[in-house]
Amino acid sequence: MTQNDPRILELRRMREQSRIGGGADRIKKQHAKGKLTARERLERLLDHGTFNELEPFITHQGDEMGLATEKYLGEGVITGYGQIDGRTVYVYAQDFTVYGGTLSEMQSHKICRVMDLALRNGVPIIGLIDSGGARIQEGVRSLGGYAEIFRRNAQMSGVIPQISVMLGPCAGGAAYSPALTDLIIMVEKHSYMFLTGPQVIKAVTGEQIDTESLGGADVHMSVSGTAHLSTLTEQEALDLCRRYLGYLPSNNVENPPYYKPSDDPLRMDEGLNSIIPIDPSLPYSMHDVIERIVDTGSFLEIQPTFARNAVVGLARIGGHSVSIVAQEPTVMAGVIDIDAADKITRHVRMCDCFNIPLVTFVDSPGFLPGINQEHGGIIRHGAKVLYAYSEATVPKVSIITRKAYGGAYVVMSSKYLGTDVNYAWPSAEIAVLGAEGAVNILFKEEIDSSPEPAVMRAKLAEDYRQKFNNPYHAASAGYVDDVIEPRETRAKIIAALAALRDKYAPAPPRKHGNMPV
Amino acid sequence: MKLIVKVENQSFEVEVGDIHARPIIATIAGEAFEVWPEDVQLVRSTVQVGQVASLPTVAASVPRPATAHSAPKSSTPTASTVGAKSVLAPLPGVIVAVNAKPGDAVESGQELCIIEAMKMKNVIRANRSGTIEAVHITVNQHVKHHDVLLEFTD
Repeated sequence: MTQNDPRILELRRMREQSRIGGGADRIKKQHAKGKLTARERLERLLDHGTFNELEPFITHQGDEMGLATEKYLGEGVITGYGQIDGRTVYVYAQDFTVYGGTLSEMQSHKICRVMDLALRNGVPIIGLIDSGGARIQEGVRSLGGYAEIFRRNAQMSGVIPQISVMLGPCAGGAAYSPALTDLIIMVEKHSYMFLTGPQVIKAVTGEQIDTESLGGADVHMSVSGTAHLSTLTEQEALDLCRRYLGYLPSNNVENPPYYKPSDDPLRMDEGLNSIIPIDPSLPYSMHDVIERIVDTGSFLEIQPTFARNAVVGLARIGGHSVSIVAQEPTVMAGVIDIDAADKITRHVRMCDCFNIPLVTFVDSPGFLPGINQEHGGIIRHGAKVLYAYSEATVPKVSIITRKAYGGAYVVMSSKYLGTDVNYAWPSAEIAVLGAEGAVNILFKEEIDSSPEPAVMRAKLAEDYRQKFNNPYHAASAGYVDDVIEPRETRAKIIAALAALRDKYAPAPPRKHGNMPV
Repeated sequence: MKLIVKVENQSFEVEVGDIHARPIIATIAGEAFEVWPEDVQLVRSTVQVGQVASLPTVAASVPRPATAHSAPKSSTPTASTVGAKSVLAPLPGVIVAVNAKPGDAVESGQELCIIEAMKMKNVIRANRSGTIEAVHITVNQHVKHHDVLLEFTD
């Protein structure tokens, strides 16, 4: 066979045609917007040279509204498999140069194909989303295509990691599929998510808003809580996707990967012993506490700007992946409100799906009081935190750093929700409510009948503080397993997780639970 | 994130930590500086895309080694939305200190008042620089969630 075999040449021609998607002009336009093409994105996401494409010759099958005259090989999405840090992943990348990346029946077919393969092989699926939504010309066939994807998203949830990287205007259905996945990464000023766009909103409600203010990265990171991470550039978003996967196993029966730590497991941080102010009403940074305890530089905070009173993220400790949940005293005193409850619940359940142990740092002064919180359903939202911690079967370790009051103590990984090892720092205060509030209820008569009520109240409050503003009352009753020096925390967590590595805690068989939402 | 910043022909190598943290920690020649950027106003109905102050510009304009708490001046004209002009109570509680009065020029990150709530003294800081027009609170006053505490002139 010579090099000029026409059959080989035809294949090469077809491949080239498929490779350029919507053509050189549209690629130029994509670049002019400061964006990469779908193929460039895949090259940058995956280990070099590992991408293998599937179904590059698929085209749409319809002929409605001029579709028949404009066919593009690949149908606006590039699908296949490759590797990230040597581990297999399946991927799809929507190609904005072909019909604006809009979803057609055959595009859906291609996406579902790689989703099915990812599930069958127990490896992550990553979607690089850049799509204007449904392909209007195809009508209900396009909508059906979305439904096929949504159903798979739901069925694969908790079986394989699903990641969505948002790289363009993602309207309608293009926003819904990511919402069903485990992680949404957005690029600031490049990606948008909304169900109804600015024009529709203007027509219906008269409200005027631009795309960035309606569904940009800032909004979804800080206000709606829809996105989990955001970056300034596409490259950083793809890098972050790779980094995130490094904390996760490939599926729900594997354990997360272990990386030999460069950080000493027995490292003691003397600074931790003085990090909690003597005055219990002064704040300290829980972020600082976390950074000092986990393997240096390993903390990846998720949703860093949404409900900042709660902190969630992934980290490594002694080389093993852990899930971090904490409260931040510098933001709203670290109270639990509706948004914080949602944020914590989602993270706890994600980590439980993928066998990532939970490490919870508790500084829980209470639930946010207020009519809007109660009417907004803080009961059912707060109940989710209880549900998630109780349901989670991964190893669970908690450290009470300071406040642990009332119901807000109970929900935050307290011992009898099933937390395996419960530590408290000497600064811990574990009580039903604060000293002043408690004595006003318990000693109302004594205070009222006292000749000097204020003095009496202060004395009783001081007695109460002596009794409860330390961890030893709880420790004597068996509600904390040990009181440790803050500097020992790292070594204690590593030892506890090692002792829990083979934890077996089967849940009773059932179809699924009925978590409040 | 590493940035090279030029100030009057002198180059500084600036290591910027988590840009979502407040303060942002910027390290210059081993010395750490706290930076309080003016937060981007999120919900605005009239501002066009392109006018929005972006985090990268804020972070990049950060280093001024002379002063800690250096607040970058944003050129963004803030629309007259509630968040821009008013400082709201992030949680309900009792005012225990008021550290600003009408006419004061405050820097972003400066302490404005303290709300005692949830057994904590919560320091409320300016999220922008400006001049205080009105102070709606006094010590020992109870405030509700999202009550207006102070207002800027613009």
